This record gives sequence, structure tokens and C-alpha cells, in this order.
Amino acid sequence: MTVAQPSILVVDDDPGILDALRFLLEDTGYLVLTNENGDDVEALRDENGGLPDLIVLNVLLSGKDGRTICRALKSHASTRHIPIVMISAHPDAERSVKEVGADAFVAKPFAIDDLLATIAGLLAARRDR
Amino acid sequence: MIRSLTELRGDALPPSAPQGTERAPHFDPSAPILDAIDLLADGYYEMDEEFRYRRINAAGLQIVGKSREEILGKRVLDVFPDVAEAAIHLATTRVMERREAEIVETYYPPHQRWYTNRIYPVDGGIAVFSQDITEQKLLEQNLAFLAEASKILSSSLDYEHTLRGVAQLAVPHFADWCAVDMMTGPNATDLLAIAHIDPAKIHWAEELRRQEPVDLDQPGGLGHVLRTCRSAFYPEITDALLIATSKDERALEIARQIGFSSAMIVPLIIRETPIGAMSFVSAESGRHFTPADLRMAEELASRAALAVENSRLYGESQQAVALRDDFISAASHELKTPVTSLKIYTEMLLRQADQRGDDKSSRHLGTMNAQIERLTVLISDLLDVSKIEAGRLELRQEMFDPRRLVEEVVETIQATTTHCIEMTGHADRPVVGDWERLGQVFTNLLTNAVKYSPRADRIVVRVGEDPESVTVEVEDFGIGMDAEHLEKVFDRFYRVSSTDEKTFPGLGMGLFISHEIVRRHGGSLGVTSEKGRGSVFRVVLPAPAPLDTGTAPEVTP
Repeated sequence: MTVAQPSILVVDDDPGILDALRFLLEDTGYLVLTNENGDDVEALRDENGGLPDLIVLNVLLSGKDGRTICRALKSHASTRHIPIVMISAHPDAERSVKEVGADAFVAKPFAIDDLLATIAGLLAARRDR
Repeated sequence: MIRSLTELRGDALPPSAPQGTERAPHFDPSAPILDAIDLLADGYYEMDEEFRYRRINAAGLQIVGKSREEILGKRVLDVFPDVAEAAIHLATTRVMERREAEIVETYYPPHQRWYTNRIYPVDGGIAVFSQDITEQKLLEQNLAFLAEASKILSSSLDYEHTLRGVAQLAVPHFADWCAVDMMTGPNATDLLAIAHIDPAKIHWAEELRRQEPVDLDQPGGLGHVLRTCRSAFYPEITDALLIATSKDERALEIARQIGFSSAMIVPLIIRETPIGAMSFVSAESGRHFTPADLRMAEELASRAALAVENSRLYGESQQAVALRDDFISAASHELKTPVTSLKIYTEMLLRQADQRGDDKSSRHLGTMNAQIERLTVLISDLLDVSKIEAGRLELRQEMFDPRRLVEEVVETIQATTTHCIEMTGHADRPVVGDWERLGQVFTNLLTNAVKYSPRADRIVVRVGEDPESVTVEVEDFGIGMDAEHLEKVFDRFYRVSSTDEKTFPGLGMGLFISHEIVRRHGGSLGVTSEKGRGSVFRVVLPAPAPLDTGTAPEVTP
């Protein structure tokens, strides 16, 4: 794991959001991986040179529910430690994402400072552990 | 000795009553048979102190169903042994003893007729006028039935439920059987309700219907009523009629088993289209329906059809509303996605412009960001309105210090306006509720205060409390409102607009949402305003317990 440039996996079915988040997170200094439909994310394995340091995961994906992915990652020993920030345009989704083990929830649309502060906080907490 | 009928004690005599007729005090077999009292349409009879018939007129004889010879001079209990406990006999006994006139209403089962009996004390006995009020009584009963049925029909928009209630109400006073059939297709009906006083018979009838559904192609009956939209009326059902109309032996046997004596089938019609029919059948009671009964049944059917139509229209409008709410919900969700990208890019460009020290770009991007924020609020408001309409607005239950929330909102709004927001007063009591949602209320009130006081330079926020509640007032010194708007300003989509000054844009959602949020917290949101002077919006939230500083406020003994 590179402390200087943490990696973040962003999962959202909207390409516009993926592009914007890539722009934001790369500009902030993160290494960004994106996934559009959540495929294979549930079975995230340390095969291609490491796991992401944090995952930004949209609640509703086309054909998949981000909460199912979150629950799977949080129930697997090798991925349980990865902080997950769930995002959604449904502000009421907050309760349900906490139930599946998400570490934080940010409602769309958000101020970039709110998302960045949430991400920085979770990464710092993980580093300190 | 009876001197004169005019001396009878009691109230008004019928106008046709003979006046001043002298009569012998005892039965005189030689008295003329035709008598002035025979001209009375009402029954008239006199009894002596021993309850012996002394006089009776032709109408009276018809009522009791006896000849003059069978009655006159005889004691009433010898002629009619079974009336000893009847209301009429008890009343005549009382009048005989107390010598005070009485009026008593009686029903005579053998003839199925009602009478009003006016009983007067006369010399040596009593006199009775019996007026046949059966028609009036039936009309009254029908009207009472119609009124009660209308009450049931308007009690609910669930027409299946109300029509069952009406069928139930019809038995046994109006009919022995009542059935409601609703059309389910071009040539199909479904039995919605069937009522009879005996549940076993209902079960039997339902079973019968299951085995043999109604054949709408039959020339008569239900099919004919539905095809022609005209009532079928069978005042008298004879065995010959049953034989003629039954399609086979089994049907005839069933019809005989029911013992039809009279029947009516009236269509339920909505805008000239039949939607079903109500059937009324008289059987064991032996009652024969009259044209008046048919009119009543048709009136009932038209009211029932109206209830069905109302119910269907309501269902359609509810569906439309649900569709609209679903659409708004989906639309606002869809709108949020591009707004999210837009906001990220704008804030990113703003951040980069700030880093470059490009003030001009920063200013423009700041404005752009503020506009995106407005768009976001509008989208959220749309979603909130649809949630409120659908009863899906969820509120958290947290205990917090309302003053801290107000301070936070004031700070946020102050950063966006040149108005000076002054905050005064204090409150130590906590409220229980949704921090975010109440924050939304104060944000809305402060945003409005800024928006509607373009020429003022200050806004006052007052916090206060009493033993039951916490109050937050937001006062502006702006354009204010006329009294006519004050009551409506919290209505959904209400917008204050006037011709004499510029109108302010908006969709009339913010105050409706705020009002609903506060109401759901058990509080109230009110306004006082004066045109040209400004407005004061007042939020009152229930706050029963004082805030226990620092710790969770739990009551300990």
C-alpha cells in the first residue's frame, strides 16, 4: 500500500459521475480506479497488485444493488478492512447503507469538501489503526 | 247518555265527523243500519263500559273483518280473544278508566296495515276513530330506508362495502331478498352482495349462483334489465309465471322453493351505461311490491350508481396522484445525477481558480455554484412534496439543543447574504426531532426573509421558551403580505403574487414543506405580516423537559 498516494475504487453506473469523481479525486492526489456496473467488485481479490484503500460505492447500480456488494465485501475477511463510502441521490438511503456495514454515507449532490473530508477522515482512521 | 259527538273530549275530530247526532245509550237492534258515521272513511266504533260494541261504521267493519251482527252487543274479548294484551285494547282500557283521550298507533298483522286510533271518552263508554295510515307508513319506511341507505352509500368510497351494506339494510323491511350484481365484462356479471335475514339461505343462494351462473342471454330477468337499462317489475308472481319463465325443471323447483311472491330488478346506470343491477325479491313475507316501491328502488339504484361512480373516479384520481408522485420521485432522482457531476466540476474549477488567484473566474464560478445549489434545493423540495403527499416523509427522533441548530443555520445563511442576521433570546430546553429536517425549516425561513426584504439590511431571529415549548421567530423588514395571503401561504404550490410590484419566483413548495415538517414534530408554524413592513414567521416546537447540560437528558429520581 502506498501511503503517499492512496487508491480509491469508484463504483457508479453513471459515466458522468465517474468522470467527475475521477477528476476530483485525482486532482486531490488519489489513485483512482473506476467500475461502472459493479461487476466482480463483490469478489474483489488481491490479484492485480493490491486492493484499493477505500471504495466509493453508489447505492443503485444498473442491475445491481450497491448494498449487496457492500455487505459481501464487509463479510469477507480479505476485504472487510476497506472503508466504504456509499453515495446516493436518495437521502433516505442512509439508514439502509449503515445496516449493510458502510462506513459513511454522502447524499448526492454533495459539496466536494464534504466528500473529501469524509474520505480523508476514513483513510486517516485506517492509517492510525 | 251520549249527547253529541261534539262533546267528545280530546283534540280535533276529522272534518267529516257527523255533528250533533243523538244516540241511544244502548244497543238498539231496530236502529237504522245506514248511519251518518258510515260516511266516514275512517273506522269508527263505540264501546260501553263493559267493552261491548255499541256502534260501528262500515269502514270499522271492514277493518275488523266482521259483520255488524257478529259484533254489536258483544264484548270485545269474546269476539277477539287474542287482543287482551294488544296496544289498542290496553289503550281503550286506560281511556275507559281515566276518561282522558289517547292516540295510539297499531299494526294489524292479518291485513298488514297500520292504523292511528284516536280514543275518546264518551258518555257511558269510549269512541274510537281508526285511520288507515298504511300508505303513509310504507312511504315513511321507504323514505327512512332511502335516507339510511344514502348514509351508508356516502359513508365510504369503497362501493363494494357500501353496496353490501345497502343490500343488508333492505332486508327484511323492504324485501325478503336483496341482491347486487355488478357487470364484470360485456356479457358477464358477478354477484357482489346477497342479503336475507337467514344466513343459511344466503349460503344456499350463493351456492346456487356458483353452480348456475346467471344466463344474461335469457329473454327476461337480469339480462333484459342490463340490455335495456329498464327496470323489471313483477308485482305478483304466480306459479304460472314461474312455469313460464323457468328454463328447466330444476330452475322451476328452485323458484318454487324460494316462494317468490313479488320481485323488482332495477339497473345501476352510469352515464347511460349499465354497470349492474339490484334485485329485490319478496317471498316469505308475502308482500307485493307497488309502483311506489319500484320508484323507491329506482331512486336507490340511481344513488347507488352515483356512489359507484364516485368511488371509481376517486380510485382513478388516486392512481393519477400516485403516478404523479412516482414520476416526481423518479424525476428528481434522475435530475440529481447530472447536478452531482455539474457541482463536482464547478467546485473543482472554483478550487483551481482560487489556487491560481483568478478572482474573476472565482466570482463567476461562485455564482454558478450558488445557482446549482438553488437547483438542488428545488429538486429536493419536489421530492419532499411528493413524499409528504404519499405520507412517506420520514423523521428521525433525536434529542438536541434547538438553539445550536438555529445558530448553525444563521451562520450558513449569513455567509450568503449582506443582510445582518441578529440573533437574540435563549432556550435551554431540548427538542426531540429531526435535526436535518428542522434545519431545512429554519434555512427556508431565513432564505425567504432575505429574498422578500431586498431593500432591508437586517433580519432578526428570536429564540425563546416556556415550560412547554421552544419558539423560534424569524422577522424580516421587507415587502410583507396582505392578510388574504396569510392563511394560504402554507398551502402546497401557493405563490403570493400581486400586480402592483414585481413578483418573486418560486413554486410555493418551501413553506408547505416547512409547515408539514413542524406539524409532524407536534409543533406549529405561523405568520404575522404587514404589507410593506415585513413578516414574522414563528416556529413553536414542543419541548417538555429542560436541557440537562452536557449529558443525555434522562429523568432520574
